[in-house]
Amino acid sequence: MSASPQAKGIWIELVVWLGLTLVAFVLTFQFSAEVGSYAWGAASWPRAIILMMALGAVVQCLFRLRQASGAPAAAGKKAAALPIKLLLVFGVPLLYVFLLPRTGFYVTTPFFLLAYLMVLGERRPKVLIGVSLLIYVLINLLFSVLFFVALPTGTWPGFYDFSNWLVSLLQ
Amino acid sequence: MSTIEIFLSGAAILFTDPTALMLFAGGLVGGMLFGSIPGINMLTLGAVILPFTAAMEPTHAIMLYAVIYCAGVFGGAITAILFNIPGSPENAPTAFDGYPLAQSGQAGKAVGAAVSCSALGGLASATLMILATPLIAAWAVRAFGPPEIFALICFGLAVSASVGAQNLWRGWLSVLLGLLIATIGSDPADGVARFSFGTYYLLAGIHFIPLILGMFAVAEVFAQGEKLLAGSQGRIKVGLDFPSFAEFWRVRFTVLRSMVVGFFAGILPGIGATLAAFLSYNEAVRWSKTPEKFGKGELSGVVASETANNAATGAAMIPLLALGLPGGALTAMMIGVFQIHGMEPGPLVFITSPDLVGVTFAAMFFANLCIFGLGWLQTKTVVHLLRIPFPLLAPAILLIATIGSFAVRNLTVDIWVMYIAGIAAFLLRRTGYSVAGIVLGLILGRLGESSFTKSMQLLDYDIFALFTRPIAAILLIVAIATVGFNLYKEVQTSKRPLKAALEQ
Repeated sequence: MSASPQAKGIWIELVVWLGLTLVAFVLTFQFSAEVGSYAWGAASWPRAIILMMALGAVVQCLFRLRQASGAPAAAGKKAAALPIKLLLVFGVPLLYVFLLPRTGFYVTTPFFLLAYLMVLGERRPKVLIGVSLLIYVLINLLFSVLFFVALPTGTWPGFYDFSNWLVSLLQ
Repeated sequence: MSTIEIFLSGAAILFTDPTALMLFAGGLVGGMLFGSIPGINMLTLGAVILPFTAAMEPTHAIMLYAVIYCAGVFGGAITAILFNIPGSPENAPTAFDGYPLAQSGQAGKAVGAAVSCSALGGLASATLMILATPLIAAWAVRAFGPPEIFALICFGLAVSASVGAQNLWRGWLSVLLGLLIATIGSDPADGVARFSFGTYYLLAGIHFIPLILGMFAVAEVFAQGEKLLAGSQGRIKVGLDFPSFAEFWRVRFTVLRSMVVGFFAGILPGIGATLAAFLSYNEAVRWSKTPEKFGKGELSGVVASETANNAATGAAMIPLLALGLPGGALTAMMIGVFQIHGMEPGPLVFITSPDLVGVTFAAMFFANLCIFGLGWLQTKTVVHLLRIPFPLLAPAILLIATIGSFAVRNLTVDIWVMYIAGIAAFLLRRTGYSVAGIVLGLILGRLGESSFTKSMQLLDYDIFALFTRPIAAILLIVAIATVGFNLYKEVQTSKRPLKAALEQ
């Protein structure tokens, strides 16, 4: 007899929590040696939290299983599948952060703005260019000119020189 | 000279000295502006102007910092409410309910409540500061040692599980996750590295600002992005209505309670406005007849957080002026200003520099009055930003959050932390866990562990000795009772569907 999708979800959640607590508990042995001024050592507090987490996860699982078995079978709320577009909602900012220290804020940002507007469904060229430009100029005025925030200028050859030239122009 | 006479003479000096008035206005606008931009908070402004204070008169310099403190604590509330971007950590609980209110077309109400309550909290705190600085400072610093602070943290944590989660267990797991994240870095007793994986970056722990930016702003952009792609994102109705008198009357006890919580949290060194806001928010949940509404757009949540964080500002000046003890980072900078001018804050300041104390008292009082006026203006203007369609606003929010998290320490790894926290918070929210709970655990955890460690060293590792100290005992007993009551309620609630199914 196969478990219902609801029960399966509850078990998966328990496994995730117990996995997390197990990994964290194992890691506490790296700093469990006795220390000078505190008799209970550096690991006691995190271990107490880990223990409570494991306990909480088990109790939650038991409660939810009890509720699931007692309640009439739910109409099975279908888990929303993550569309590829949603992955872009996460992915484009991550790519931006990856490029930021390499190609610099000043070069990467306009492309990020354009790309993210497109990911969110904007297709009108005038709006794409206009909004990207407006945000870019305002952000630069605020952070580079007014607050002198040192933003990444990039490490790749060419990008670094260009960013520094732009910064000196702005300031 | 009594403190009231000192205040009156300070007000006279403030309003007749053009330089003081100019610095007052500059501090007010600068504090609000810096307070509203994440990563570039009032501490940045305080640090930037510190060297320039050497050229100022000490009275002007200390007054300027006091005004920046008041305005900066309020400034972040607006961005927290409108875009789920708390400008400073002390505004994070404001976003818990302020943002849902803005999403439901009640931005004006939320901002109006934040403005009024910030001003009220600040004014009450400034008045108490004027009336009772030496008396209160001596009592609070003596009565609250590490055991009492630990008990206060437990008291705060006891109720945090019921904020924003699908059920109590998920609430507790969220809080515990926050507490566990707070242990990353060095342990408070001996500086032993924990969960640092040998990296230098993690030795100092995970910085709070990238985490809250990720959990609030980035996660919200992802959530709205998902809705947009699914075609279920409706247009936000922009409400400009200020809260009515009847609505204010309904939250009068929350305001009063938050003033008290904020004031006492502000006095205690190391607690400050951030913890004041979190503890006060928790108390609002604890005393509410409808705690389940918190985290979903309850006006009392905004009121509690904003009253308390501003009530802490005046209170934080009490130990500084009366005892020379800074309560937080900005008041510590004020010690630096005193030292630049060859002065020492403490009881003698009242005798040697009554003008300085008077102008500071007056400036804080009038700064809070000005917050009311400027804030009202903001309610009618800044709220219109919500009319901008989300797809056009989202990249700007992500960009500001990115710069905000980078600017804290000039580390790209902070931006990674922010985005990872954003993705984690997005997934946790989908599964019914509470981001507010994680943040509460994180902020209370660091101080909780440090005060527990000190308490155990002080009490010879006898955990039950905590109950021999009256204040700590009361706080712990109430905390235990709250946890017990919540558990009982949860068990009763979970029985209902089972009972209903058996009856069918």
